[in-house]
Formats: sequence, structure tokens, C-alpha cells
Amino acid sequence: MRLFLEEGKKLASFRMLWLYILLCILLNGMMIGYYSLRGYDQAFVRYVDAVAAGQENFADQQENLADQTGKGQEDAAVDDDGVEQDASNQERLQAAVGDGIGWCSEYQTEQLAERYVSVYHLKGICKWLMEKKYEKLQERVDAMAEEGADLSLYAADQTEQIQEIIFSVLCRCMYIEAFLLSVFLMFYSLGYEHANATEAMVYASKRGRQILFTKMMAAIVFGMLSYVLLLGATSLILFRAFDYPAIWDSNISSGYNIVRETLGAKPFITWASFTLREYYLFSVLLGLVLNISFSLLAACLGILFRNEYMGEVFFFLLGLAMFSLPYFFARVGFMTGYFVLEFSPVCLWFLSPYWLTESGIAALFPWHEICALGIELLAGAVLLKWCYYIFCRKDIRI
Amino acid sequence: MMVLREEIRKIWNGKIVFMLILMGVLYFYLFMSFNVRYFPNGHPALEQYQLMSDWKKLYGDTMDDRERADAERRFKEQFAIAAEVSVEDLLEGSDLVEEEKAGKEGIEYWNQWVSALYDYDIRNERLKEAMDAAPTPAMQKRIREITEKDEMTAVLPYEIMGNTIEYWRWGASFILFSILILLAPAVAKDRMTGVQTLQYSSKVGRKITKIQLLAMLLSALFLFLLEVAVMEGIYAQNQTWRFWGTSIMRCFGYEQLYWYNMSYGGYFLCILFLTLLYAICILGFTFLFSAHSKSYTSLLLKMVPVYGCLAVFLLHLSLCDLFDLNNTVSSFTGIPGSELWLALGLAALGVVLIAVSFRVKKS
Repeated sequence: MRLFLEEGKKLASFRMLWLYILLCILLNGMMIGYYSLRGYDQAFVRYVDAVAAGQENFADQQENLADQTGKGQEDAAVDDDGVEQDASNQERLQAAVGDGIGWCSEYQTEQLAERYVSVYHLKGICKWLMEKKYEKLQERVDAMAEEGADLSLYAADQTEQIQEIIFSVLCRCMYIEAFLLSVFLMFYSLGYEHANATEAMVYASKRGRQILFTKMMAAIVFGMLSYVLLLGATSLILFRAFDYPAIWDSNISSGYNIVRETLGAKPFITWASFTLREYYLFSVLLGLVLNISFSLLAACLGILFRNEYMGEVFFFLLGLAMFSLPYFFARVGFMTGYFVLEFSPVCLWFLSPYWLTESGIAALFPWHEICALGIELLAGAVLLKWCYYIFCRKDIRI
Repeated sequence: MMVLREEIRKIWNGKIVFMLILMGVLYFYLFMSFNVRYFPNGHPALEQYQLMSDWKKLYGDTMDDRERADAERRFKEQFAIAAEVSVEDLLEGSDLVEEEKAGKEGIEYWNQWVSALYDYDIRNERLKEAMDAAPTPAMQKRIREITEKDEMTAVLPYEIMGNTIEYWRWGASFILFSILILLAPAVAKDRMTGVQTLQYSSKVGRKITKIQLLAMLLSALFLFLLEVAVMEGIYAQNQTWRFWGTSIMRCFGYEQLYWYNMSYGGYFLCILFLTLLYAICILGFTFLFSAHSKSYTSLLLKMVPVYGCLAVFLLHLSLCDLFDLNNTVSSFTGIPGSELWLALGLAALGVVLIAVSFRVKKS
């Protein structure tokens, strides 16, 4: 414990850590500010929020729209200009509702399965698993139809923009900032003795090479704390800038929430019912586990390389390989390789805007990201043990 | 000279170079190969490219009214259309040409031909619309100048500009990344291994900093030229150099107006020049942080936000529609060609950073 605290102290006294977190929060704050001003129609979303605040379910929206919007208008209208603005917002919302948002009752997920199987030429077990996944998804769609998840208003025709800003841009950015920090902390911690030429002394002590585990633990804990700090601060700014309580409480699988991919558009179907707020929190929680997974990967490289710079450059190479090889495998038709690599931390990070959904071609199982995280942690632990074994058999050359 | 050679050898660490090559291959596959593999990308880009290539052979880099009339005559001859049929009538639909004879691509070619003739005819009306929509006096002045000088007559396929910018935007990001990775440990390594005290007490003394800086500059320049040569070598497959002397002020395809009337070749060189300026800036930061970081991790933690800001944010914003009236950077500042001024400013900052860290190290 004492050693752990000492290692922790070493990390805490690393000034760049704090400066980096501060810079990231600043950058995220600027991004949120930019998107709040330019990314979506703020006045309309505020209006939708006011309308949604007057009801819990939007099932009767088409019939009661006039009353509901009138109620929203009372909340939102403050002056003449505001009234005029609300009138146009009301028309816009009516048009959006008129387009029809309910899709659950007639949606057949087997179409999605057919699409992926035929376009990617899936065969054998991959085909079977893909079809099974979408069979299972049909049950979920039916359940969603019963609860009326698709009738949720979310941000009406601005939903895609909001979803894009929060999950595709901001969350991806926050996660990678935090993951990189955890990775660098791990390299810093494990490479510290090598960089300061104290390896011989430390490894000859009573604790010996096992001190690496203490260092790893300290780096993982600090990585997690940094993650919490970074995401906590950014989330506070986000909740302040996107202050739409009713929208945060709307169902994420709203009919307006569309996923657009190369093969076409599809609804945002999650494996369980989530409000936007719940989905965000679950997503952040999964990010925390993925953070550990990145730390374990860095620990393996840190032990193998000893020289932190080489390890860090190799990490970049490995990350790029994890990111690009699935595309290559998909292109040459080696889909098994593609699906295996989709379990890698980098692919999982890139998939973050679609966590807890069916995830399209990237996933063969329901709850893909949770399975992948479990496998990553297990594989990381085994790999770490193996790297440590190799390291123990090495002579330390100063 | 010997010290310089050794410093350069130290920078070109075999393991790092090998990893950079691998990264380059993966990066190219992931981000840049698309612009080479799919150029021109599908229909109607392919037909428009073919048409512009044919017109360039026939009429040269620009088109005038006489040549436009000739193009219409040839078109009507090729598709056996009566001379009295106007371009507006032809625009109505492709039912005038028999699909069975022409095939799908023939129809697309036909469509592009008609659209190009029409684009030429209405270029001044489009400029007028652009003038009405222009938010700043500078933009209005430039559009007036384009109209008066009748600049929008270049025979250039619309896809060339977008493809070139897209390819080099990614390419430039990788060039900056590789300079950072290769040069970052140059000075930091000596500091961390305690070699610096030995160096300072040697015959060369503190002049070593100057030699290290020279080694870094030469290495960065060589790496820049090498990567540009490789990337351009691959990009040459697209044969866009056939339009090297053609002006970027085209009137065919979607509208795009630029602050400067320059050739495609000149525009391409501007992209490279801008990348070089950003490279100088990143070199300045790398030298500064390399000379003043206590660990590699500290060095990289400093460089990550700098790289993110420079290469991911500013460089992409600058190169995306470079010198276009609607470029984000020039729209934001309201100054024509701000992207170039920004890059010059950043390069100057890089030089200042080098000078400052050089002075600090010398004292």
C-alpha cells in the first residue's frame, strides 16, 4: 500500500497531467460553445423542449398537437418577437410530427439482417450469428412498440444534429483524450525507472520486478481518476449548455433518431429502453471500462518496450492497425478477421456513438460492446501476465 | 560536420523510421487511397471528367463564345439533334437521345455536355446571384472583378479540386505527424540520459544546440520532400497534372469562387507551401518541447494538443476549399486569403519558438 501511495504521489506530481486535463476541458468547452451556437437550431430545440415538458409520452401528439404546442408557447413566449418565432416553430414541429415518427409497429429487423448478409457476403457462423442477432432485435422492436419509444419527441427534426454533436463528436473526442492520457500515464509510470536509470536499484530491491504491478495499479487508478475528472467537468459544461431537461428525459430510440450509414438509413434501436440522460451515463460508464482496457494494452507494451517513447510510438502504430485492418479485411472479404478486430479497443472507441444498439455490421452479438469489454479485460490480463513472464526472463541491461 | 552527421544519424533511428513507414502504409490505406482508387468517383463525375478532357484538347485551358458555339455544333452532330433545338430544351430531359443506342454512360455524357453548355451560358447570372448573396464588401469586389475580367471560363473538371484538396489534407496531417514523431526525441534524449553535460563540456560546447537544430531542420526538410515525392508519385496515377496550367476559375459543375485567379498547378504548389509553413510551426514546437521536457511522456502530452490544434483543426480548416470565398478561416476573419496569413503567422511563431528555446539553452 505504501508503495502504491508513493507511485501515486509520483504520478500526482506530474505537472503535465494536470495541464493536459485543463487543456482538454478548455478544448471541449470551446467545442460545446461552438456547436451550441452553430451546430443546431437552438430556438427550435428550446421550443421542442418546452412542448415535451408538458407531456411524458408523445403518443397522442398528432391529435393534441395544437393544445400541447399552445402550452409550450405559453412557457416559451416572452415578447412579440418570441411569439412570432414560436408560431414558426409550431408550424415546423407540426410538419415534423405530420411526417410521422412511429415506425416500431411495422418494422421488420430481418430486412437489416438480409442487407448485411447480402452486401458483405456473410457465410457460415457469421451469417447465422448475424441473423440470430436481428431475430433477437425483433423482440426488442416489438417491446418498443408496446412502450411507444418511437413516439418520443426527442428534439424533433433537430434530433440527428443533437445526437451527432453529443455522441459522434463530443463523446468520441472526450473518450480519446482520456484514453490517451491513461495510456501515457501507464508508459510514464512503467518507463520511469528506465528513464531515470534506477532500474537496477529498484529491481534488486525486496519487491523486485513485482513493483511493476504496483506501478500499473497506480497508473490505472490515476487514469480512471483523470477520466472521471475530465468527463465530469465536460459533462457539467454540456448539461449547462444543452439545458433541455425534457429532451434529456426523452427516449433515445425516438422515431427522429436515425442512423445513416453507407447502406442506408435505419432507426436507432437499443437493446434496452434508455432515456437520453441514461444513455449518456451508461455510455460514460462503458467509456470508463474501456479506459482500463486501453491502460492494460499500454501496460503490456510498457513492459515489453521499457523505453517509453518506443512503446508510445508502437502504441500509435498498433492503434492505426486496429483501426484500418478491419476495413482491409472487409474489402478483401475476410469477414472473420473483420469481426475479430471489431473487438479491439480502438474499434470499440470508434463505435461509441452506437454503443448499446444493434451496431450494424460491426457486431455479431447483442450487447456487443459489453461482450467486447469483457473479452478485452480478460485478454488484457492474460497478455499482461505473459508480457511480465517475458520481462522476468530478460536481463536488465543498463 | 562529423557531429552534424552523428546528430542526423541519431534522429533517423531505424526502429522509429520503420514504424513510421508502417504507419504511413496503414494511414494511406485508411485515409488517402480512396482518392486515388475512385477518381473520378462514379457518375456523373466520370463523364464530366471525360468531357472536360476532350474540351481541353480541342479548346485549350479556357473557353470563349466561339468555342462554346463549336461545342454545341459538335454535340448536335454527335447525337443527331436538329440545329434549332436550344440548350434549354435539351436540359428538359434526355429523351431526345435513344437510350438503347447511347447506353447509360452515353446518356450521362449527353447530360454533362448539355449541363456544361448551360453552365457556360449562365455563368454571369450565377455570379450575379453570388454577388447578391455575398456578405462582405471584399467578396462583392472580388465577384465584380471576376465578372469584369470574365475569369470564369476555365475548362476544368469539378472533381479535380475537391479530390486534390481531400488527398493533400490527409497527406499534410501525416507529414506533420511524422515530423513530430521523428524529431521529438532529438534533444530530449540527450537531456534525459544526462549526455548534455558531457556535450557542453566537450570541445563543441554549447554550439551543439545549433548543430542539433540544424540536424533537425535538415531532417524535417528531407522528410517533408520525401513524403511529398512519395504521395505525389502515387497521386500522379490520377493524371490531374494534365490540367496543370488550367485556371481554377471554372464555370462547369457546382459553383466555386476563389480570391485569386491561379492555375491548378499553382494552387497545388500553394497547398504544399502551406503544409511547409505548418511543418515549420510544428518543428518549432517540437524543438521547444524536446529541449524542455523531462520525460518523453511529458513531451508527447504537450505535443498532442498542439498537433490536434494545428493539424486536425487549423490545417484542415485552411486547406478545406483553400482560397475559396467561403473558406472557414477567411470567412471568420473577413480578410481575403487569410489561410495563407494564418500559416505564415504560425510559421513565424515556430521560428520565434526555436529562437527562444535556442537562447534559453545557450544561456
